[in-house]
Formats: sequence, C-alpha cells, structure tokens
Amino acid sequence: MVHLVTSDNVEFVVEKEVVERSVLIKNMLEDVGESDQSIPLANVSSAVLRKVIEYCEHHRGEPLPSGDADQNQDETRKRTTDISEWDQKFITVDQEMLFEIILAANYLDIKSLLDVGCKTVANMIKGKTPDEIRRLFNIVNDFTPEEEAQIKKENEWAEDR
Amino acid sequence: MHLCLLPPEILLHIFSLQKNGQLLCSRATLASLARTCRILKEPALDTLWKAISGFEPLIACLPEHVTTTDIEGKLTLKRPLSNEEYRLLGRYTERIRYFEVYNSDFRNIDVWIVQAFIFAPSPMPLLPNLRCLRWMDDNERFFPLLHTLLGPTITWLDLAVAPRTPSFAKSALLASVGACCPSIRELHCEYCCDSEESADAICEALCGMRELFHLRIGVFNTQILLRLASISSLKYLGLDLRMYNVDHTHSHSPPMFPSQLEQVVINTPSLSVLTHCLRNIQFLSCRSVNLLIDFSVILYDPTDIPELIISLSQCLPPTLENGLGR
Repeated sequence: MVHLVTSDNVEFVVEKEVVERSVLIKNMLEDVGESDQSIPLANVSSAVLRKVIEYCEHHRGEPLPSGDADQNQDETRKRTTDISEWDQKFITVDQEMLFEIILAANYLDIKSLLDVGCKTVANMIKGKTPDEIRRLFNIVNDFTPEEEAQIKKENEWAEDR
Repeated sequence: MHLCLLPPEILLHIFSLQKNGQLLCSRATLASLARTCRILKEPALDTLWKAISGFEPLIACLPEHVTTTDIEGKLTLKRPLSNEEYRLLGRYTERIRYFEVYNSDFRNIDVWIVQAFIFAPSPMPLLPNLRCLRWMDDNERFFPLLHTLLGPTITWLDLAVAPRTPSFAKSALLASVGACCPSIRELHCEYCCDSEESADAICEALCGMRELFHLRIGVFNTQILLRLASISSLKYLGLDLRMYNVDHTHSHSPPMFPSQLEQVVINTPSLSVLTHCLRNIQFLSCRSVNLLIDFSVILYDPTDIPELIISLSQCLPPTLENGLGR
C-alpha cells in the first residue's frame, strides 16, 4: 500500500497497482523502493485526489503508455478523442473541479485522465462565439474594441473553415 | 480554478485535440478563442496557425488598404509592404510549423505578392519555425519563393517539383536542399525525370543531410546509391523505379547498405527493371522489403522470374523478417 498526503494534509492509503497509474508516483516508488513513508502531494487537494483515485481504480490493469513516450505518441493521443461512457459520467463535475482534475492529472502525469479532462473542455468550447465562450467560462473581455476587431480581421480567413 | 489559469501547454493541448483528422476546436472556434481574452489569444493563434495551406491566410492578415484584386481577379498588392506590415506578417508566420502549397494556390495571387514574400527584409526565413513543407508545384517562376521557405528548422520535406524534363532551375533547387535544410529526417522526392543532371542534383542534396531517416526518391544512379549507403541514419528507403534507367545504374561492386536500414519499399513498372535494380544494390541487413509491382499495367514474362529470384537472393539478407510482393 502507498500513503499519499494531500495539500490539505489528508492521508490516503492506496493500492500500489492503482496509484501507479500516475507516472510521477510510479517513478518516485521506483526511485525510493519499498517504504512506509508518505508521499506528499503539495499540488493536489483531498477532494481532487479522491476523484483521481476513483479514476485510477476504475482503470486499474489497463495498459499504461510506454515509458519512452515520444512526440509520435503525443500526436496519437491528440487524434483519439472519444470519451467512454464511464469517463463521461466521471468527468461530469463543476468547472472548478474539472480544471483541478486537469491540473492534478498533469502534475501526477496521468495522461489518460488529462486527455479526458481536456477533451471535455474542448467539447464545451467547440462551435462557440467569443461571447459564448466568455459567458460559459466567466471570462472578462480585456481587449479594446479596436484590438478585438483587428484580431478578427487578421484571422477572418479561418471563419469559414 | 479557472480556464485562464491553466498552464499554456495544457491550453495548447486542449485546442489541438483532433477527431477524425479534424481539430475538435475548428479553425473558426480557434479564431473565436483568440478574441476571447489576452490569455487565450496566444495558444489559440499558435494552434490556428500551426498548419497552413496556401498563401491566402498570409495575405488575409495584411491590412485591407494594402491588398486589392486585379482585373483578372487575382489578389495583388497596391504597393510594396512596409516594415511594419512585414512585422505584422511575422507575428503570424513565426507560428507556422507545417506549410503546404499546391499549384492551385498560385492561381489567385499575382507576381507582386510572390515577390513581396521573396524579398521580405528579415534575415530569417519567411517561415522561421517551419518543420514540415509540402510543395506541389513545378512552375519554375515560383522556385525562388520555395527557396526562401527552405531553412534549417525543416525536418520533413515533400517535393513534387516534377522535373519530368531536365531543367537547370530544378536541378539547382534540388542541389541546394541539403545545405538549406541539413536537419531533414524525412524527404519525399519522387517523379523526377531520369537525367544525369537531376541525379547529380539529388546526390549533392544528400551530401548535406546528416540525419536523414526516411527517403523516397524516383531517380537514382550508382552515385546516389553509394551516397545513400553511407548515410547511417537511414532507416526507410522507398525507390520508385518508374523512371529507372538501366544505363545509369551499374556497378561492379554493388553499394552495401548499413545494418540500420529497417524497411525497403520498391515500386517497379516491370520485373526486368526490378531485377536490374536489385543487381546493383546489396542490403546487408534490413528487416522488411515490400515490392510493389502493378501486374495490371506491365507485360508479365515468366522467363524473368528465375533471374529475379537470383537477384533477390543476392540483394537481400538471409535474416529478412518480412518480404512482401504485390
């Protein structure tokens, strides 16, 4: 079993097979060897880690990306965008949690979870106008009208593609 | 936590996800994202401009008062571009990693625009961060523009300059590729005409390529084969024998390819041409050979078979893992 301590000082005890879906933790365990010492995760809160562990438990035993992940693998990941039914339900959370999960997956190096989060955000964005994107994510427009018009003009060729 | 607080590399990953070969966030969506706020602008534009086809986007980003349409309906410039306009262009061209040009792209632009791109004042290439270039036009008038695109950042080059007839300009261009793009890992240069001139040019180009990994060529002679055999980084070799000239390729000691070669694909118009070619190469060790023979268009002579088998056994290593003929 592996002991993980979150940023809000909550300890989780997780099976090694489950937690090793995180390349970061897998490498740590390989470097340190068998130990009862807790692994501090300063960038992950307990609420987020609970979700991450839920994901890792569901996907336990599935093949992990090989250690020598190269650019080609990254390109392949970008091309596969279907989200499974379970993953869709899992990632149906509020935006705050969604972005926290993405950050945690990036920090812990869990590529499949990072992809699920990123695909979800991409699906939310696609086909929307600037105003719709701002409303959806509560973004403040910090362009002047002239700046916005110039960006629009310089990239107008993309509008019909 | 907020979308705009995600690190730029994650935003780039979100914006560049694809489904069925298309960006999940379409180009129109990326253009919208770029206008949403300052934080999203840069990763959105980086993704939007990463892969560009044709010159239209480069012209479209210029101010309206600079461009116009001539009486033939072609886009043209009212005057030479100012340094400020080149800087504006540069803010977009520096984002381009993949660029492709087809001959149809030149139908709607006039020579002034081509000249404006050729004579850009920057000491850097027009596309300073270009990685992949596909050029599918053989009009010599545009070769100076192609030459300005060739730069040291290019690692993948697909040239269909199709010199079916020998030409000084085409040979000079081909010969310069190795020096202009020394980091090329993948080069496709098929459908060349078979002439000593173009073969020499390709041989010259190969001299400068120290990292060549994947090569597909349609013209070669003994000199080129010898050159190729000396490139230790070469893993994939595709030979198109449709323009093969039996008089240009003969050697008493066939070039031996190094052991790193993994796959050879040979596309041949006839068994006799294939047999002749195989007599002039020896692969010390390659894992896979794929012979593409179009029996629907060639005259099949059964007497060619014994000689072909002898050539194959002499050319290919006994350790071959996969051999495939079609």
